Amino acid sequence: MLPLALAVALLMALSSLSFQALALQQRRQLALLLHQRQREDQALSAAQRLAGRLQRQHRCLLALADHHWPTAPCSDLASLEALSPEGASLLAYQPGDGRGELLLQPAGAGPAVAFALHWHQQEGGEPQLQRVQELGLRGLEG
Amino acid sequence: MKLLEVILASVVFSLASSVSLQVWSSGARWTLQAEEQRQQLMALDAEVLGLQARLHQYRGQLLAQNCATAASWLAAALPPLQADGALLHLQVGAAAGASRERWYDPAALGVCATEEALPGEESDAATL
Repeated sequence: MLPLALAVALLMALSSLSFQALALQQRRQLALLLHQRQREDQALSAAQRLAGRLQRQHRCLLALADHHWPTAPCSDLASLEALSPEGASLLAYQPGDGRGELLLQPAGAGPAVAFALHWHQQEGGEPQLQRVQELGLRGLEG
Repeated sequence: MKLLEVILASVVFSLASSVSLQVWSSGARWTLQAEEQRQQLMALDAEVLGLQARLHQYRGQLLAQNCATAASWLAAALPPLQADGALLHLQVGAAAGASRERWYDPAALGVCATEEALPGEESDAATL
């Protein structure tokens, strides 16, 4: 009878520990999900701030790739430094037809986040920002 | 000998059942809490995305020349957005321990036309 009781006790211990591990895993996944959402919020806020600064002060840069910004006639190095968004660093900006793709690296480890800056430009005028669109994560393959 | 074995088996079984029950109970409690938190997170997601969609309805419409005025107008129209100078601040879920926080710039939505820099931004607006 004792071996049977020991076997049943072992079985109960194993099953309850498995259930406990499952519950812990669920909590861990939730914490990870919340962290991921907060990181997305941080990246979006940085993109909004950068886009707002471009719109207010450096509209001409919207139509130029970021490596051309230091030599752009409408800007200087000091004001470009003030463009840097809080909580993220600018990796790249590549303009296209009526929009530009902005790549930001949020602070801390993790993939970069891409945004599209949509603008409207009238003949002979400067680009006018209309919205910032989240495109998703980049660099996950690395 | 037989009686001693029965007593020992009963003790082992009782102890194992009691401990197992406690572990299952705490596991079930954690699972319930995790499910509640998951639902809260989903609700916060929906709130943030819904508000962002409503905010984007105004994109490209000139609400005010000045971005601070546009921010105040949008904050009044779209609670729980709050104006902080010329920026919009959204914070939800702080009470539930799952805080979500986003900042929006009215200038990035094209709802204001000011070329003035915010405090802390170096202005070269005059050169534009």
